[in-house]
Amino acid sequence: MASVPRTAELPPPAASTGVLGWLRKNLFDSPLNGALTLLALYLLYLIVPPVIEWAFVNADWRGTRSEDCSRLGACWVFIHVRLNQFMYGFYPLDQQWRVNAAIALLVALVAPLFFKRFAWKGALIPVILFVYPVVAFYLLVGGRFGLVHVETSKWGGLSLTLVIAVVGMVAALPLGVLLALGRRATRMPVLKALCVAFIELVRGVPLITILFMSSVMLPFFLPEGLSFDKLLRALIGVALFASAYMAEVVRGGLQGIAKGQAEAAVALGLGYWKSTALVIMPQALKLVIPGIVNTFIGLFKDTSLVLIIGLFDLLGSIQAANADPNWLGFSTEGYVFAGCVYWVFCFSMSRYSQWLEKKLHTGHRR
Amino acid sequence: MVEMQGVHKWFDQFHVLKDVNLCVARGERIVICGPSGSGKSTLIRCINRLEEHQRGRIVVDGLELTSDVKHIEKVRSEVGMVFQHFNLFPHLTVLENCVLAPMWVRKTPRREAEKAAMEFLERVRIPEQAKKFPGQLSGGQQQRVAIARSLCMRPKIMLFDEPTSALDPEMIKEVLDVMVGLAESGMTMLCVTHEMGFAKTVANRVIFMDEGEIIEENEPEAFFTHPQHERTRLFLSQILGH
Repeated sequence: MASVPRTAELPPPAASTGVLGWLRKNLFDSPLNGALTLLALYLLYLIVPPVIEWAFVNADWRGTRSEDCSRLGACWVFIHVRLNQFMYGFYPLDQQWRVNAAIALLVALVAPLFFKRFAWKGALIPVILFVYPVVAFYLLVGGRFGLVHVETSKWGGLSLTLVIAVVGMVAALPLGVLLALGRRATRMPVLKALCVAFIELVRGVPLITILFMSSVMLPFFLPEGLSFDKLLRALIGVALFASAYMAEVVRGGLQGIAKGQAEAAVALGLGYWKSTALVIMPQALKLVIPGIVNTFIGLFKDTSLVLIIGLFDLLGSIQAANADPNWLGFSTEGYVFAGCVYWVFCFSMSRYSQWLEKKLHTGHRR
Repeated sequence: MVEMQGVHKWFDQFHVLKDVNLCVARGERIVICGPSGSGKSTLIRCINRLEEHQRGRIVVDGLELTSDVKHIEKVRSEVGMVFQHFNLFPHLTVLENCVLAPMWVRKTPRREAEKAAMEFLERVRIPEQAKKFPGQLSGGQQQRVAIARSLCMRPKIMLFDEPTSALDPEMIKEVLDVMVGLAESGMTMLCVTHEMGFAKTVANRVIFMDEGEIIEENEPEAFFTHPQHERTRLFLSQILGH
């Protein structure tokens, strides 16, 4: 058998590589693109230097009073002085270690999940989901184990934002999964109708409305003397709201799984719950990681709406500080600070989701 | 092992199975063929109740299939099924695919399940792929894994639903070889396939279906040389003619 000679592999043409090649291909490949590039550079020149000047060069970093600020640039003194309130609200100073401890504990529990080779991963997740909330509850609320009781009305700042966001996320995902499964339960029409009604009702209403309802209207319907904590009501509202969105995201994932997967699982003798939990759900959730994280990010930012029912989360406490007569005129600094904090959290979530997607990708890796 | 008496099934208004009667004894190997849409897949899918029949009786290994979920799950754990599109679980490795059901249905300890799975993977001749994901394997390899996965439940009956139809031609043989090996080991098999060579060498009986009915049922020798019905003759001339 005669062998066919192979064509030798050639390097790519020189003009298409390197810095110059890149510039030419991406920025100056036509007169219009060249003009747009120059225009964009000009806009950057107009915007970036003043921002840097305001935020860094002319900014005041040291001091304790508003008079310490020159008002030529940003007055970070304001943030510095109020930082404690922005982080902890009115949580008593000598008890703030409890908030720190709760956060540190969560970080310590979640961090090992990022390492691939960690034998106790399986045991850690139920601890995070079931044990940690109880521990965190007693840590933050107190009233037991020798801890002073701290009313939830004193909670505030970033720590309140985190409490609402974390509770919302931890509750919304499982609830959303159940709602999505219920909505697909064609064999149980009543259950299905209930799930559809809940999802459509909650999704069709703004979060503000739900928060208002839970804080203003709910007490009218409850028997006299029975009252729920304001924070608890907000938590329930946020969790239910997010779970309706989550349900639709998860349902999208379920629809992306071929029918053959469920058939194969069931044909092996796995029952409904086992085949759902072991075969269908892992694939469906993996498919919609971007959607789940999208909902989480939305939820994280929506927590700022609790301000309207009188809870002072990060944004709320910044707005409260803006109204302080000693510090008038520094709201820009406050909002920039809030924006940066929100951005850091949301961007980390986004990066985490991309990392997770990559890690879980097994489909077409060859 | 399998007994079907007067089984009828409808998809909405469409009458898919019309009065199907079929008895399969232990160790029998049955090939079911027929034109597409004739109900042959539906027939074997009724045996593990992936499809529900609306009239008649189906008894599998002494258990009648009714709406009783316990019975259905028991039957399914005793009946293995291989699909046209493999349906391996893409998020699990080959080995995890194999041990999933034994561990969660039979409660076999992981170590033991993995040992058994490796034996079956050896039998289908791909033990070296155990740590890979299904997406990294060729179609023929995936189908062999699917067979091994079913065997890990140590089924009494194996159902094959066009196991080679989705494969590239050069991979059909490796799957058929595994199936022949399985037949030689005495497994009870029901196989929907158009591989007539396989039917000739392996089957005890060939069943021809058309429009939801069993038209003809015979030993392979007689079935291929002296088909009794006009429709069978037409079908055979069409698939053997090309």
